[in-house]
Amino acid sequence: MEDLIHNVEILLVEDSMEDANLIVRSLKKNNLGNSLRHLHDGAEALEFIFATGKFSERKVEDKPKLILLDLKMPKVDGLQVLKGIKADDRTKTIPVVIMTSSREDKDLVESYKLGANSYVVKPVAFDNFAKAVAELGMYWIMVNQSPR
Amino acid sequence: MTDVDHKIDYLSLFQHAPGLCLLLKPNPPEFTILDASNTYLKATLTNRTEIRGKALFVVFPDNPGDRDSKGTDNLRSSLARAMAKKQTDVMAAQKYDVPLPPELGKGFEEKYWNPKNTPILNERGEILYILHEVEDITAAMQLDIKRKKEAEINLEMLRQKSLLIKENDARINMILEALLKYTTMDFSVRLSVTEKGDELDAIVVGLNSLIDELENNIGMLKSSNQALEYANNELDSFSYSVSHDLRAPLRGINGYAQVLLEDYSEKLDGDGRKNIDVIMKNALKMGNLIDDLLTFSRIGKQNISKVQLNMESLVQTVIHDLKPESGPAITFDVKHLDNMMGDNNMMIQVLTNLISNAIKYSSKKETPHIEIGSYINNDMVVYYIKDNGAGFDMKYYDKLFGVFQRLHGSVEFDGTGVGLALVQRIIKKHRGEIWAEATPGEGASFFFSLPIKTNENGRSDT
Repeated sequence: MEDLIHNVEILLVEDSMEDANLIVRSLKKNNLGNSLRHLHDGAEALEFIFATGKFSERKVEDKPKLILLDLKMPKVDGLQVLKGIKADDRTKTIPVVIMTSSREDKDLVESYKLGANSYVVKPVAFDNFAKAVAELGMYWIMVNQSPR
Repeated sequence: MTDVDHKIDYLSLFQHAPGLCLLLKPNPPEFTILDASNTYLKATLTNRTEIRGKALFVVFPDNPGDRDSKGTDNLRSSLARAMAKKQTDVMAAQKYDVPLPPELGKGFEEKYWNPKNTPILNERGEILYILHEVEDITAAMQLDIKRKKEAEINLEMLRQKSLLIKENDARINMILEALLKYTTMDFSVRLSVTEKGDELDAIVVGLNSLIDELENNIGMLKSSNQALEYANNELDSFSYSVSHDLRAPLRGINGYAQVLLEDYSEKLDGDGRKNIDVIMKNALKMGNLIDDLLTFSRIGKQNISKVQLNMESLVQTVIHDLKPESGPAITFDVKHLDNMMGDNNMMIQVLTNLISNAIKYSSKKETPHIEIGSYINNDMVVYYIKDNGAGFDMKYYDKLFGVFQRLHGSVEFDGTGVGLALVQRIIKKHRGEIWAEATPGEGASFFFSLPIKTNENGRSDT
């Protein structure tokens, strides 16, 4: 999974290893974990999406089908990543699901303003969250036809 | 001998005559003094022997201490006119000071006179004598002068007073202008004190020290306000961190306990599974606690936006959402409810907390009964939620609305101890009151009152 560079379906951007493992687990349970790449911060995510830095061998056009994006991360936070994705014509059609522990209204409002496609609050009870993420993944990967 | 034949003593007659007369020889420029009436001598502070035979202007020279004196000139002219016309020459009232006799000291005594000079002619029309008659008007003139002086002094005093009034008017105006500025919190101007040290100065001194103190206090207020704002911002980022960072590890605990339960269930016995269940429940409880606490702190900062609330439909919605699917059937008795002005979300929070409490604490009764109603008391509308549940001991009433205060163990009834504190906070923000009555084992009633009249902008300054 760590090595997957091309044809990534789901890009998970999450600084917490624990959360990431649980998310991957619930995605895999729903057969969504096969073409998944996990990145640990916003800076890495931007390099991956825009095929720069250590991901320069990638092509921007090789877009992930879904980005699961944590808000609170070191270096570059989720809102900045979201802004970058939605400001660029090549990437703005990628569905982005914001995942966060924050229940602050301002985060929610700001995320939707910047063009987030969904917003999920990570609850303490992981059950519900796992279900929600799996359903969202299913929706964006299987059902939703995003323009290519 | 008849009376007419009696020899008349003309000398005595002249000397004792009541008029003030001086008899002069018509020999200018000396005008030698021949005699004078006693009254004249008295009025001019002279005596007969000293002045007799002396030249008029030697005896009565001008007062060298009075530069404006024209007595001798006037008298000389009048005498000349009288002699030329050979008839009485009446002089205007005038000042003519007389020298003091040596025994009274040096100098002159101020004197005013009404003089006239009459040439005494013989049959041939020759001038024998000149009769100089005077009327002593010194007292009247001095009184007149004194009055004039007094009048002048009065006028001057009046002028001074009106000046003072004008000046004080200007000062009062300056004070008022400064006060006006002070009311707009502009303290750039300080009034200055005059040399007078009067009441206005006292006011200015008092005002200045008052303004100094006020400015000082405002400064302190501002800095403590800044400190407060800073603390508030700190709290903001703190509660953000709490909401994010405290929940993440709990999610880890709960999530991995779940993984354990799912992936290793066959390796665990019943006790093991139960223990993992406890871990998960506690993580959830901690999560609820954090959520409640965050809501509680957020409510404190939130402004209320008041709208007309239909309490009956609000209560029905809340009951619908809270009604438990299992357990004994609860009878809800919702009476007529008065509508009120309040914040929709906050009021839903209040009703949710109070009604869920009523449900929770009456859940162990066979026939739980919850009554909800309202009544008007003065200018407040009072709502109540009454249950027949566990109640509580009024002895612990003062702990009822405290944060993290619980009157029941969590084994008995679940809860975080934040709910009622939150309700109280919301009601207080609405300028209302909350109170309760209860009997252990028989039930509890919670009341909250809200003002019927509310300020229109719907903001609270708490």
